[in-house]
Amino acid sequence: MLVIKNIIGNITTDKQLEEKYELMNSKGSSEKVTITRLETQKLRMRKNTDKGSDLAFVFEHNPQLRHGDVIYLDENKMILLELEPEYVGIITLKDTDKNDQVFLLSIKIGHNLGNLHRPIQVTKNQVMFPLQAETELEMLKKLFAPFNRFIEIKTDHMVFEPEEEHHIHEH
Amino acid sequence: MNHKRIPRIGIGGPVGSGKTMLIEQFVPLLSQKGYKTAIISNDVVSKIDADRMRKNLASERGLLPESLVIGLATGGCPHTAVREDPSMNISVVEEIEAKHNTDLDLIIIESGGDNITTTFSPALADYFIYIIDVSSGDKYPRKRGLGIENCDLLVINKIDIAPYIGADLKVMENDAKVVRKNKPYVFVNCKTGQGVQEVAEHIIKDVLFEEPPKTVINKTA
Ligand SMILES: Nc1nc2c(ncn2[C@@H]2O[C@H](COP(=O)(O)OP(=O)(O)OP(=O)(O)O)[C@@H](O)[C@H]2O)c(=O)[nH]1
Ligand SMILES: [Mg+2]
Repeated sequence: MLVIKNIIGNITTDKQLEEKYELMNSKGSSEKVTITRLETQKLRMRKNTDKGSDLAFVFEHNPQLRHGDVIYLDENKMILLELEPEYVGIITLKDTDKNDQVFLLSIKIGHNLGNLHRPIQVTKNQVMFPLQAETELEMLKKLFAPFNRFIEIKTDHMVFEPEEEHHIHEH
Repeated sequence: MNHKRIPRIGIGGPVGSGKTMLIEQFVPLLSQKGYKTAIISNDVVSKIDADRMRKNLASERGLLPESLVIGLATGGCPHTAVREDPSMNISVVEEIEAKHNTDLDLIIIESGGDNITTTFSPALADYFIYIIDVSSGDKYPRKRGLGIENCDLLVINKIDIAPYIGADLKVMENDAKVVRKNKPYVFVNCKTGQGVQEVAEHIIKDVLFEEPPKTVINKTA
């Protein structure tokens, strides 16, 4: 049992670590452990890597684990943490320039997603949020029907990481 | 926080699915191995579950001190007290941790009976057991829901009454496999204790990391 008490770094933000990962991966010295988004704040858990290494996570504070975190590293082994992909809903605002309703739309979309207690990730003209199942897309389309002209709703299966993790209430 | 966190498990599930009885069944099994536990039982308005466990496990069998079975009447939506705003539970847990740092191995938190989307805040519990029963037929776990899909251990209780309901355990098992991917599930009968040993084994492996009881470690140290 390997005890994991802290995160070494993240390969998506640390260039050196990414190179190290590429190197070790090419030598077959990397292992992966996959968790779900709901497990990213756990202070204590036991997991196996894809190669069967037995891991015990023990943190003192919310670790806020991220996709691409390196959780173990020595000369012979690097262990990378991955998040399981999940269904996300993506709402895209069409034609932002001509749309004089941006304010109203943003408020309505935010209000609805808040009512669904979803964490969000926002880009310039898009908002993404987790779906509990692919079937929720239909519900969303109904919910946003009045705004059909201004937005596009679609779904994707991908790793989702909220803007900033806050208490989530999904039901 | 100047005290060490004691491993904590949360137990959730619909009203009457067997949360309290499951605790009454596995606490003695952990106790046999020397593990010391404390129990917090949440309910909306009453404290009868806590009173029952205190009587059965503490007063009559002496498996834990009476003071370590605590009832919390949370009011409102039961899930808010273990997820959105677990402050009430956390303050009780931290009080226990401060007093029992050297002897207590595990804190068990029963949530109030709730809907199928209950989960525990990771700030409150490290491991989440969700318990359903067969009394509504074999459509669960196929119906999914956050608790059923994402809990660390799914317990399906009351298998003794399956024939009366016409619930097919084989169907439930196949659905559990699909919905849970590689995560574990266990069929139990909390009236007889059948299957509960397996629940205790999961707790010992995945929460206690198979470490010896604290009282044993501290004695030899
Ligand atoms: N036949 C049968 N009955 C059971 C079993 N497990 C529990 N029960 C009964 O189910 C009822 C509810 O059990 P509890 O343990 O109180 O359930 P709970 O989930 O704690 O209930 P709440 O806290 O009120 O939501 C009791 O009357 C138990 O006797 C079982 O395996 N088989
Ligand atoms: Mg109960």
